[in-house]
Amino acid sequence: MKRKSHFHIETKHVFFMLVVACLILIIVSSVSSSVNNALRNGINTVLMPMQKGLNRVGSYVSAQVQEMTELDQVREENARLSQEVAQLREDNTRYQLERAELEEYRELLDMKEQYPDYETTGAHIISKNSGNWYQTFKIDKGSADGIQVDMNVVADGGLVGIVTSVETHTATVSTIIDDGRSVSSMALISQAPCIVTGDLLLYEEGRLLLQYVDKNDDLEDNYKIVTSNTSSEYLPGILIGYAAELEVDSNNLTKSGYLIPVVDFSHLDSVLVITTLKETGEAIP
Amino acid sequence: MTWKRVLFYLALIVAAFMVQNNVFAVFTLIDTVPNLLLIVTFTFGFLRGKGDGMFIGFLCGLLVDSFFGEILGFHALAYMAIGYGNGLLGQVFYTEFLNMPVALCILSDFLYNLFIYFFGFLMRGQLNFPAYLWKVILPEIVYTVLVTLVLYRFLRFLNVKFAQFEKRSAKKFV
Repeated sequence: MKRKSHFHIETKHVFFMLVVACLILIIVSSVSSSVNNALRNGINTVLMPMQKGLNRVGSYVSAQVQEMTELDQVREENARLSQEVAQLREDNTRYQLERAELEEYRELLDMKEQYPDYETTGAHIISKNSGNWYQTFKIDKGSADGIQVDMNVVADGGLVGIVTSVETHTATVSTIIDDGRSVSSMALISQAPCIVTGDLLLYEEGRLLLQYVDKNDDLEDNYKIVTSNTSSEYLPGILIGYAAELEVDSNNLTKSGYLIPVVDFSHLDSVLVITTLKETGEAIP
Repeated sequence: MTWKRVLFYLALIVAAFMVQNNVFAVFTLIDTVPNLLLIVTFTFGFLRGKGDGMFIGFLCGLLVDSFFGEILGFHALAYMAIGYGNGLLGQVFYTEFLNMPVALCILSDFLYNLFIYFFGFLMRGQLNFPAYLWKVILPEIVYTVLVTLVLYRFLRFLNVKFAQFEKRSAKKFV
């Protein structure tokens, strides 16, 4: 049985057509994000269960390996931590009293609470971006769980990143260490504004860029840096990290340095997504 | 290309993708992940010709794009060109030459990373190429070469076995 068609295209012509198709895809998908959502949804729905299963195997194996190496370390740490807990408990009661007092004063001043406790939902990281260029990962919750684009993601009490795309049961999170991603932020106490920018090369040393601080502003090394009130994407008052090695720039107007993040990005396995979106006060069309 | 072969490639790509995104990401020994999809692409491009290489590359790239990227077609273009290019090399070079997979791996991985650096980073004004070469591209190449040494033989074995299977099932229909 031979069924050879007379219709035949050379491989190089197919290659050329696919190149053109790719270019069209690049242009179309960079103009409108809704185009690739259908494809994304399809592929993610099929691959998610497999990914989850394999992930479990991977984490199990790595947990076993880690357990062996870390047992001694953990014992030591446990002793130290239990002491710390006692200390903290004591502090905590004191703070609670102070907080009650603060609330009273606030009520007196009729001030709105500026940093409310944001509502969060937990999510597991199911896969990390395979390349070594981009620092993005996927979580196992999506639009069905109420996740939306631009929701902030936190872990270990610090800012991790922001949701950049959402499928039915998964969502992609771009981290603040991703090259070129910047966060409008400020010093916690003095409220001096600054910009924190992710940089691939700096992150290898565990640092981010801290830029555009006014030379005369009260922002020094080891200051706590939090997200700014004026940020268009990030909710205010989320801890990012600590300032380090600030120096006056060559323009003699601003100073810049590094930021050491509080989140340990290489050991993340679950995160909290803040389900409140920043109110940007955009005009209603 | 038969449907069986298409399915075979699909299974291989999905498996490589899963492993790359999970197990290797968990064991980030030197914070660098070997590029398994690239290994599959260049190996089959080299062994099976430019058509198969192009097809596998396109699927690999599309998978990466649709999973993580915001722009569709960027990685697809890179992987596809690598599959096709290795197909062209396969016409010129002898497949059994011992160091060939290593040479192919270095060349493919370097070009792939150069492509991403050029469009993703240089275009945004990140001019420090030597630093990127030293800290991102070289570690990935070293890691990928190490994995290639093991995986190439396995993939070639799979390729031969599948070709035999294809032949056998083709005979059944005659």
